[in-house]
Amino acid sequence: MANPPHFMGVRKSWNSWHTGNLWEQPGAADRTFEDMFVRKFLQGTFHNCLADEIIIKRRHNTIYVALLLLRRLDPQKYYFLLGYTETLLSHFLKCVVKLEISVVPRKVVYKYI
Amino acid sequence: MAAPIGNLAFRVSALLAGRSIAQRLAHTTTKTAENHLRYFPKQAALTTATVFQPALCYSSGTSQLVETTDEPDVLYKKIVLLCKGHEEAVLDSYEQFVSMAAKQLGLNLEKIHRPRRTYDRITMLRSIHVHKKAKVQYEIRTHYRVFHFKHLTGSTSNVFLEYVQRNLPEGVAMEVKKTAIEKLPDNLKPPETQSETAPVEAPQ
Repeated sequence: MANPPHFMGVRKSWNSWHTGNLWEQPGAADRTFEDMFVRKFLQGTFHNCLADEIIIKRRHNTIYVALLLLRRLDPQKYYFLLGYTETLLSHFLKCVVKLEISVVPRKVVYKYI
Repeated sequence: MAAPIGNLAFRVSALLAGRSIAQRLAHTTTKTAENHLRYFPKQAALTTATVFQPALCYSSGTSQLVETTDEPDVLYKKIVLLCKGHEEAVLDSYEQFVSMAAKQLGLNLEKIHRPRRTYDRITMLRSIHVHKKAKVQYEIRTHYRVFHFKHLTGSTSNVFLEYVQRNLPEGVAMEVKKTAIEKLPDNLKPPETQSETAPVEAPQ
């Protein structure tokens, strides 16, 4: 493994940040389902353009989705897809969804060996 | 944006430059919109341009920012904040943030205590079929921080809790327990003291 489980919280963190899995907090299953939906949706809209994993952070009533994209499409097309995903996901998940995208030239290095 | 910073600096420097302390105090107590325009006549011309004016004006009245009501404020004997998170480091930095904010606002942060972390363990079968002896174990750790505040008013607590909750990191949950002080109901009388009661004679 690149980062074994004993590095959790030290060198390794999570792709999805929410309070559902804390002790005696409700909604873990709902959050997991929403995360799966968001990831599938984004994999479809930005097909072949994703450089790395999708990070999902939930703060109050907003969902911040952080993406890294490759330079496959024109910036205009990226802007359109950004607005499209934000509006559609906001309507599907019934809360504010904000996408934070960064465009990188090539796939990001995960770990140097 | 250079324009708003320039405006603010101009106002502050004109207000405070080359004046004695008495003059500065005298100036800050005279707060009306006309005075402001009289001191800075160019501001009237600037309003036609689309320049962002910061909401907090040094020379405007505080009555525009503070609401006053007749009903008495709620008094809280103690407010307890329980913060839960998966990472100790995140909770440490949040603890620093909350204590610094409380110190700045002059709130009585009596105690910060760190209860022991809890583990939520699950044991599952490794294989989809057969191989009962092979299992895998997962655990979810929750760390805690508890902040005890003493003697707050309702308005203070509203402002402070709003500030602190807006800056809650993602993945951190907060539970707030408030203990308010209420007036004793009219039909109940406070307990009588020793001097008020008549001396009870011992039965023979």
